Amino acid sequence: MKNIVYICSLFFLFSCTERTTGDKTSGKPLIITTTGMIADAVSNLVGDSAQVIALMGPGVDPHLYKATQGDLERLQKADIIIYNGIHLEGKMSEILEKLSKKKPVIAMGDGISKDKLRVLDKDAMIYDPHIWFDVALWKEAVDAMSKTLAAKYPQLAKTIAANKVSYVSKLDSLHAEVKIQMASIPVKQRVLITAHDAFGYFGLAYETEVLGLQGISTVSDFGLNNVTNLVNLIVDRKIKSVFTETSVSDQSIRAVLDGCRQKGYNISIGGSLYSDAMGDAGTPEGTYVGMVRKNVHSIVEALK
Amino acid sequence: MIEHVQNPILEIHDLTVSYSKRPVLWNIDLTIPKGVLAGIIGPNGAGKSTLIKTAMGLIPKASGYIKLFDQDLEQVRKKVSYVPQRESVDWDFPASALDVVLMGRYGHVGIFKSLREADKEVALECLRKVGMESFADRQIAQLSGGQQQRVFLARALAQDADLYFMDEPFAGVDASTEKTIIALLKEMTAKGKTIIVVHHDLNSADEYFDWILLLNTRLVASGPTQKVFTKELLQKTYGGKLNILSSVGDLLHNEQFPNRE
Amino acid sequence: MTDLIRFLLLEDPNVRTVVIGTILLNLSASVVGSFAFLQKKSLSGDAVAHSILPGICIAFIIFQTKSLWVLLPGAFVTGWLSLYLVDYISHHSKLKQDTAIAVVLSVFFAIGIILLTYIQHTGSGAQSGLDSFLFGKAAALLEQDLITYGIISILVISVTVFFFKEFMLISFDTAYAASIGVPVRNLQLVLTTLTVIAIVTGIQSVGVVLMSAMLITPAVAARYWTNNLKRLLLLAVLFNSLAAIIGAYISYRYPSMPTGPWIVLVISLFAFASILFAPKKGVVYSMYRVFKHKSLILKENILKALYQLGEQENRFKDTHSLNNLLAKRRLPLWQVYPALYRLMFEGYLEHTKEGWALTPEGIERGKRIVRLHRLWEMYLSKNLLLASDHVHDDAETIEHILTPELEARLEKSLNFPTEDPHASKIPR
Repeated sequence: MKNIVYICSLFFLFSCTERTTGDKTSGKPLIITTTGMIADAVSNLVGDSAQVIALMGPGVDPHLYKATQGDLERLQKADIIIYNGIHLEGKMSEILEKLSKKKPVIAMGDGISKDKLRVLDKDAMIYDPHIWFDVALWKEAVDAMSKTLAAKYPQLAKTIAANKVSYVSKLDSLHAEVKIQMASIPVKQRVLITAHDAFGYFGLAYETEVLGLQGISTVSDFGLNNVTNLVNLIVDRKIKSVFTETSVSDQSIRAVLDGCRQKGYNISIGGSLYSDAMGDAGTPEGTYVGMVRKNVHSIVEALK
Repeated sequence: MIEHVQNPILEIHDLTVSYSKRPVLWNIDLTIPKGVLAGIIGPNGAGKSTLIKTAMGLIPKASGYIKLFDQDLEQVRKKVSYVPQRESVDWDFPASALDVVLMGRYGHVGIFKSLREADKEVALECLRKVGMESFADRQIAQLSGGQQQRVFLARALAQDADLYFMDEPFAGVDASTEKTIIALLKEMTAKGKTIIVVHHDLNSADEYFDWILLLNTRLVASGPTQKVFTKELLQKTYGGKLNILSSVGDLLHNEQFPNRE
Repeated sequence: MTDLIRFLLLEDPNVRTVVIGTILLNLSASVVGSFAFLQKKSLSGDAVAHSILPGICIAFIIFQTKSLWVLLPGAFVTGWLSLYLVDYISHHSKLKQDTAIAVVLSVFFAIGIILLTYIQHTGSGAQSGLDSFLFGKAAALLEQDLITYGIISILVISVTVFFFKEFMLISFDTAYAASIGVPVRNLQLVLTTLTVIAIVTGIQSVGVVLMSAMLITPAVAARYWTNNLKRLLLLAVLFNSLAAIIGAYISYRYPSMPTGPWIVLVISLFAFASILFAPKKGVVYSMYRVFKHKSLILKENILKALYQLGEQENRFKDTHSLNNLLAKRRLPLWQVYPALYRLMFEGYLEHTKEGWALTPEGIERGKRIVRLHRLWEMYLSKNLLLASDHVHDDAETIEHILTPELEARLEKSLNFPTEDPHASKIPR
């Protein structure tokens, strides 16, 4: 009887560790990123010359993500780790710190000067991490990252430089496109209400008023105060739509809708925005550019 | 010296009860006539409480049967009443003396119904019989040991049964309470009730009871007091366990051997 | 202030939903929880609450929906299973119930967290909002669910009322219940099922981690105010509802305050306040009683000393200086002054430049104490056969507590003695 227990527990232990299949067989550098947006950006920079993998898939919330044993193994195998920084990956900071002693661990956020970041708490030096929502800002980060990557892989420097030029121009036209699209919404209706305070940079860059129910991180709780204030605001200003997010539960927004309806104001969900994660791979929304376009499309349709 | 009677109110046949396969009662065989005030006497650990708990169906039998009024317990529950040991309960429960006595009426009232005024009157009357009517609304935690025992007794009376099993009703009770209780019990048997009491005190046994069971894991004797309450029988009861029997009991326990094939 | 009024009038629809919702959700918990408390099974409520997590996760994984109609049954299954396991383990192994509870609770909860983390890693995971089951999302309750909660509450409470006297009996005296033919096992099963239902519903307001507080704490608070079971249940419900209202108000008034944890904090404060301040049973009351006794003893000792000083020359109206008084009887100096002034205020003493004197009332009172002291000494020496030098200390205490009725009985039983064991006169 005892032996069986031993064997079972050993079996159990072994089967719990994930086995990642040969990442290094191709001989190409292995770059592992945290969010999909970063993976997308880096892929566009390196093209086929490196393997780029994102730890967090579509619909995953980076504020809450805890790395598993399997993730750790993959990160150990990486040549470079790229994360967002500015405390987006709140629950991974310890692991990233430990890994930074063994290999290059670079933050996208480092590529942006601090004075361009939204300040949340000056004394505690807390900034808004959702930098990818301002396309121009994201472009700066991508630009800086390309230089860092080129320095690390001089043999790829030429490829990276070339890719960067074309990608950056894509981002520039995207930025302009978004500006025009958002401007088409009358000012009074240009209010973006979502589940958490993710769209701060979006608001600044595209002159949109932005409100979230939960705070800057989905870890923080919201109370009755936040819900009732939002309900009153929506009803007072006759906002047309609110938005859920793909990586956050819609419970809170539903409560807001419920409150509005009870006050006699009918409002519906304008769509589900990609906030902290992109869409499924293989779809247009699975790329950064596609995701931004889809978001703007949903917003404009709902608010105009 | 085991006297058997015709038409017993309680018949126990070949009863063995075990805890973890160790027998605490071996092959008990006895009958008790109607209308007696019977005392179960024996040293500590003799199985006295076990005997009446088994009769009340609270402990499973390893072998044998018990008949009350020549029937199974299930058929005659309304006629049988049980007074457990006082320590079996946490007296810090939010209830008054009256609340506890009313519990004795639940059997009459039934599960889905509520108690009536008549039940309350019966309960108060029972409290009066044990001299506790002025304590009816008192919280049971505030009662002394003797008073608590009397409340338990009143509860049993409220059931208005014909056969009563009482587990050490005089334990920790003052002399005057004891006098009151024994007078009440004798009054009840005079009216035809049968009362079987587990008693801890040898000295008062022959004065209180008209039928005595001497028990020490096995039945040493059962019969009218004068015939049973003799020096040799008492010596046999209190003279320590039968050694071989004990060793066999240990063996059954260690091997977890079944009591009957 | 206007905020409070707006809140109390339930003007905001979300406020209405949350207040009514949390009251309903925890109503059944406070009722069945009281029985768990009385049966000394408080911890098993905690075990059930924690064991619900894996059930919710498994239901989500299998059916890929976050509909409560799917998740809550899943919760119920593992909740019930955990209780069954606790029972099984404590009866069929060497482990006692508290160990069984600790083991089951931790294992189930750990499995729950593993599953939750797994779910969060998948795409649909974050959307599920399952992690809100950990601490509840009271602020996000929806109006349409109020009816469901209401029905469940009514159901649980009705069944409890229905079986009230039986639940009371099996909680007080299981053996007796079995002896009168009450189906103890089945009734316990019903109670257990009601408890699991109450926990499963209540979790949405305060979450898995804190649910056991909503079961037990209302009963704890209520226990200090009543000795009657019916009233205890009513008080538990009342405290529960008050805590829900206050918790909701705090979440309404201040931003980012989670409602569930605040409700638990408030009900716990009620419990602490009850433990401290409840009349007769409260800690503060006990302390006050001790203080009262001490001050009474001190005052009476002062009167007694002055009377005894008077006895020496049979002159009771004399004024005595403080030093004289202290020479007759050693008293704590810093307490004597307030006691003296208190006695003066109450009319037992007069205060002049020379010192203190007994008033007629003071003489009577002092006389009585001395009398009781000596009567008691007689009683002890006659009935306990104590030597005359052993009776004094006891009498020092008992003199302060004897009632006039006991005094009369003492005198009668001692046959109206005139002298005490030290041959001092017993004053009439």
